[in-house]
Amino acid sequence: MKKKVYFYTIYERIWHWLQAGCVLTLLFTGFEISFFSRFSIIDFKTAVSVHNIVGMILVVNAFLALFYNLAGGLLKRYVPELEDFSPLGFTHAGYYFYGIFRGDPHPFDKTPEKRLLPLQKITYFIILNGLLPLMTFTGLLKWSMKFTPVYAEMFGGLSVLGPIHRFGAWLFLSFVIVHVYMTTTGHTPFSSLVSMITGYEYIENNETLEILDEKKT
Amino acid sequence: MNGVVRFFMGVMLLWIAGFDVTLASETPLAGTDFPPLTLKSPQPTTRSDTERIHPLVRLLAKNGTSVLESNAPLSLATTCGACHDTAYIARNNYHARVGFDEMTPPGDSRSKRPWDMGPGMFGRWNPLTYRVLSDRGSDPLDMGTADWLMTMGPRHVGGGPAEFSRYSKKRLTEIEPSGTVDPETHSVDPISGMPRVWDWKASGIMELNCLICHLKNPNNVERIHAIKNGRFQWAATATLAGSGLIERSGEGYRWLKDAFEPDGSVGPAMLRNAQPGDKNCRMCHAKSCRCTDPVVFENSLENWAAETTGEIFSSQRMFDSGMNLKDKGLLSRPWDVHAQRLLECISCHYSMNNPNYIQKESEALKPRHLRFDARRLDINQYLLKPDHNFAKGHSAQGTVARRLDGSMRNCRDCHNAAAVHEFLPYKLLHFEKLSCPACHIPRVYAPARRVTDWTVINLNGEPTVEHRGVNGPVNDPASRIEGYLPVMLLHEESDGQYRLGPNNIIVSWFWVEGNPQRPVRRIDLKKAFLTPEGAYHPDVLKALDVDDNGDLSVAERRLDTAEKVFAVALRLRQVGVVNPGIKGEIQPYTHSHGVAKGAFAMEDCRACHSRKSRINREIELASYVPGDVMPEPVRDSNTKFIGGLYRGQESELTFRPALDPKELYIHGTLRPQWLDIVGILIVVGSMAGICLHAGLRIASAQKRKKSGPK
Amino acid sequence: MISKIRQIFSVVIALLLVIFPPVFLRHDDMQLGAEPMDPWTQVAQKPTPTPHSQLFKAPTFTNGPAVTRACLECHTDSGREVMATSHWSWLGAEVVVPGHDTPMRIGKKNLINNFCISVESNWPKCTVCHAGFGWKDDTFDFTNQELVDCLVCHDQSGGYTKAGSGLPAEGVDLMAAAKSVGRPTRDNCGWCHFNGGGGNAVKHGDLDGSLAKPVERIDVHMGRNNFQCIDCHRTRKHDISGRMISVTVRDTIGVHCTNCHSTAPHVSDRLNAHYRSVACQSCHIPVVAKKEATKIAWDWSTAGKDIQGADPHQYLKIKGSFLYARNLVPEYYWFNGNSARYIKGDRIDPRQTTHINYPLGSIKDPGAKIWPFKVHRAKQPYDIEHRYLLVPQTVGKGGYWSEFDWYKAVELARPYTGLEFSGKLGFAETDMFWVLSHMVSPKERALQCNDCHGETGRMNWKDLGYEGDPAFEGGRFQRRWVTLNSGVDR
Repeated sequence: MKKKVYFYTIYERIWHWLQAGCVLTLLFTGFEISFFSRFSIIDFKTAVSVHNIVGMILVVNAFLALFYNLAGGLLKRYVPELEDFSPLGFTHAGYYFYGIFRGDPHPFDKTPEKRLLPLQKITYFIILNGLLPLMTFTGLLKWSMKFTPVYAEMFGGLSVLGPIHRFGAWLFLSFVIVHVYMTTTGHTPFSSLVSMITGYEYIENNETLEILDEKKT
Repeated sequence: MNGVVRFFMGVMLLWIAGFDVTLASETPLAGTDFPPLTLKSPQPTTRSDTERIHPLVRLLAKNGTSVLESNAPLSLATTCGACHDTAYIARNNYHARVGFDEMTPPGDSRSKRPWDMGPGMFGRWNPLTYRVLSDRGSDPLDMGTADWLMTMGPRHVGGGPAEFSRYSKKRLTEIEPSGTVDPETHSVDPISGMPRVWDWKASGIMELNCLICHLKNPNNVERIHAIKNGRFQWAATATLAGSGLIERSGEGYRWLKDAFEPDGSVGPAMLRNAQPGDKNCRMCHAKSCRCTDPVVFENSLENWAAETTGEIFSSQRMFDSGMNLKDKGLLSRPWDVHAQRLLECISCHYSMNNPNYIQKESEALKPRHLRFDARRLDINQYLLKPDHNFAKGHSAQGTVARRLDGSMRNCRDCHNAAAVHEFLPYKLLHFEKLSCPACHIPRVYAPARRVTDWTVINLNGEPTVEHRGVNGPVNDPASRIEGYLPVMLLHEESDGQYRLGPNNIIVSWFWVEGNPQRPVRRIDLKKAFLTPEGAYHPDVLKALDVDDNGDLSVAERRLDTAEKVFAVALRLRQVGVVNPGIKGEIQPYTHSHGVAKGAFAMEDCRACHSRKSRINREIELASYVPGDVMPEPVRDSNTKFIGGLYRGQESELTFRPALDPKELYIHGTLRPQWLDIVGILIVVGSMAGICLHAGLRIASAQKRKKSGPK
Repeated sequence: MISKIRQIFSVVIALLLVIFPPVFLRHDDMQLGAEPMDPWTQVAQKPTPTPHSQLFKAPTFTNGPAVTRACLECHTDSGREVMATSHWSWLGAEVVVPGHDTPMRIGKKNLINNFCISVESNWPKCTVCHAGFGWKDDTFDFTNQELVDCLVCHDQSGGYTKAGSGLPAEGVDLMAAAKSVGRPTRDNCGWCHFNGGGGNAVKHGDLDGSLAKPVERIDVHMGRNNFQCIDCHRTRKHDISGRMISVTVRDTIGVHCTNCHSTAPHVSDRLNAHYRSVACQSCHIPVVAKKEATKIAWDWSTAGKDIQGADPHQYLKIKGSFLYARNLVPEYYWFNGNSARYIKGDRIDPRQTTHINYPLGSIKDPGAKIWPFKVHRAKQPYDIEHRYLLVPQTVGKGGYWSEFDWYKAVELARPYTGLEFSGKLGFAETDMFWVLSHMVSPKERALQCNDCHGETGRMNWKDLGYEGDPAFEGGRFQRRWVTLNSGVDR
């Protein structure tokens, strides 16, 4: 029996898609700025301005989300615990390396409280608390060059910040590719995508359903 | 009649009354062939002449008597010195001193050349003019002081080294020959190259010539004629030729008494003295032109600024010029926007104590509570002692009086760049790293010299010269002038910052000899390459005349093999040159003129932010390298040459800039670095991974379907 | 669970908070400023043409009025519309001319100029350029709409020409002309207006045959964008806008650059500041008579001689001696839109140049600007005793051009002009001012700073009323140098 369960609030969905849109725009404009001679679809100064503005939007968006989760006490579900690394992490990885080919059911079931799978928790934690701040920080420093070189120079100047920011962009790009692919590993290739749009996941596992029902009562 | 009508009637009467009164002829003219128009044709509008308030001037000779009595040469120091402190003016004047007060022993000057004795025209050697000013003890002598005056004097205003000895405080006319060969007392015979005594008493010295700059129509041709013939004391007088005050008489001049007032004085209407206009500056710094005529550019050393940079300071639109420019129909901008906007040379290069131009006093000297100090020199004090150390910029080639670098108003003193440039992201960062001319002199539209090769001379004793920006021989009106993109180099500005700016580069090669080293004298080159009759020496022909036609074409005048170098060196040794070798030098010439306004300046980000950025593109400096001797940049240009010199496919010399990203990080120009490679590998790896994974999933799903549900 | 509406509301607020600040508080790199007004938005729409080739039933037209009758069958109001305009009446609306009391209607019909002097008594020749048929004397019926000539403006066949008294010339195929009618082109207007004063390029300076197919260097509107006259001289009900100070004194129906262009169209603030005191034409019409020379002086007093081999551009027996100029640099005067006009019978001072017309305005008049003018200087007959300018009959029997007798010519004209002749005739100097608005050069050829200011400048600042060159001494209203205590913190 499949039951539709409300997973993602409207704010969370909007945050996700806004974040996604910002990241893609930043990737696109960023690569255009760096490799302008090979890759120029919009002109240079528009690319720079858009990159700056969207970058700001991303930062504000991230902070607002942080606030939302903090205020709602929801942060816990994003923080990986030891068991998420081992044994749960390995189980999870194992599913992707051979379980999925065998047609095995997914080892973990999501509930609205435990909505992130172990590997997800780890990855997102690194992204949101490592890569995103790195990009933001180096980006802000590079942006500060507009007003004064002092802050950027403190960290080695553009010749250091530039490569780091670009490397982070490559990592972000690979994250996007893998993340989008991983969404196809749900019940059906597009089910995860749809849930992120509608907010509803289908839960099949009876045990999980029971837990949910219990929660309700 | 109401008030309005009365008013209009009054206006009409005023207008009628305001016009000129002419007598109308009452009857037709009696028979003439073509009856002349009896009407007044409209006259061109009169220009308001600046009223001349200069008092009458008695023209005096050195001894203080009127020139009319003595028929002696005009002494401006005495004449103008009656009211102006000419000694002060001559002392505080780097145009006069040209490094005379900054001399060092040979080899100790900033340029570090073993034969240079100072930073100015008197002491710093320039490969374009080639002759070397000799020091005491140089053997053989290349240029004594008198030779320097005859060679460089045309572009020197007099005073300084033209008046005084560099070894003592005496005037040149007061030095007694000591018996030994001394550059101050001897000159070099132009035919034999041997030193001979110079008679200073006969030639006189050249005082500071006020008239070159302060006359509306100075006669520079006559003045140069006098100087080149060694009649130094007549240079000032010669400047007045054509004014109606003198006439030629034999080898000298005769004053025309009738043009003078009874007391021997001359009024401003006759003298036509005025403050220096562009025309005056152009006499030495560029070729003189009447700028309402179409601009025609002549490449010659008399047109110094244009020859070395290709700059033209004119308000005329490029498509109105008389030159064969590429895409001329599109070139609607004026050569220089400041010239068009009524600025003159002295608007920026003013006398530094001129009360008209000083606006800001030094912040360091002002007490905290003062915003503005109204205590100034009054006009009289200024006119008595005007400082002739003019405000100067900070170009690579302006090596004289470097202590005054950056004293002129620079772009930022007049322009508020931050208030405009809305199209530019990261404005302040750009202003930090780029000089204003980097974008506002986006291209030079006239040719400029790029190579001076003295290693082989032609039948006139001249070097091989190459120009950039022109397709074909340079002074041929049919050659198409394409102009060129200036070379971007880091140049030190007055605030100590290095900024990228546009330059022309001139590479020179020349023979050097001896120890301490110095360039081989031109006269020795002539002796080596040419016979006394003026043809090429047979040994030279044997080595260089490839097509055996008895003449050396431009292509043959190239020392592109070791044998040719050896042959020429041998010839030089035969004429007495000690230890000849080839040396090469790179001199940048900073562009400051030929500025374009915003609409014509560089606005395309891609000009710099792309792989083919003009900041790091390869530039051809010369089409060949004589003797395979790689030239070195001069050391006193305040310009950094960061990059490498390479030889191209056809042995041409190219310069590849290699700016340090730590100093100048330019988005879009940098090649992928190792971090990028790793990053790309990660991306590619993940894409490959997911493709593999997806493929396996699909395959396994198919398999499972086939085998049926469990 | 908070209500759906609240949820959505809070999300929207959140989104606004996220997106708006970065976008609107951004450090201004991108200029989102207003674009200057696009002049093309102001250009009139062209109506769709209606071919007339099949519309006429008659096999041929015998005369001009027959064509007009055919036109009026459909265009019933056009006749009356044309008759209400100055192209028909050769008179303007009633106006008070400066220096005169009563309002009067003035125009080509009754004014004296310093070219061929006057239409009165010379109608058959002058009215070749009348938009009507048959005005050969003072009995022409101005109320008959069938005498309106439609073809002179609307013919597109190129074969329509007029002859004496405005009648169609011999041999003109009226039917072909009628069938070809369309929106008037430069050729239609220019047939008359390019040839004022008796020949191509004589009169205006900025209107001549080179404008029929000009390159853009001659006129940018007509050359580059193929503007027809009526694209600027907008016409409603046959009332064509535009005026010339030779026949009008007030600027009520003028055409202005600002009809399409902005009042601050330059990127440079400095140039836009010139708008207060300099007309657009002054900088954008650097020279006129670019291709054909225009007449700048005409001495009637030398007429009447037989001179062998005289160059018609220098001397004609019937007219006297002339001066022509090409690439003419205009003269510059203050002009506030109004002008004064010499009216027939006004007294002159023969010792001074009489201004047939002249622009009003001065440096102190805030409504006045510096405009470019072509000035035509002449010497023409005047009555020594009565001290007014005389009108000779030049055309026709007994006229000066047949008999070369000034006294007879003036007498013949007297009944029409009403000017009593004392018998004493002399020649007085006169001048006429022609405002220049055509032959606009492309902006790449507009005047530059040094063309007016500085040593090479063409302006006579003293004559214009300035103390000195305003670039250095300041303009007429604004002081250039302010004191330190003016509140501006440097």
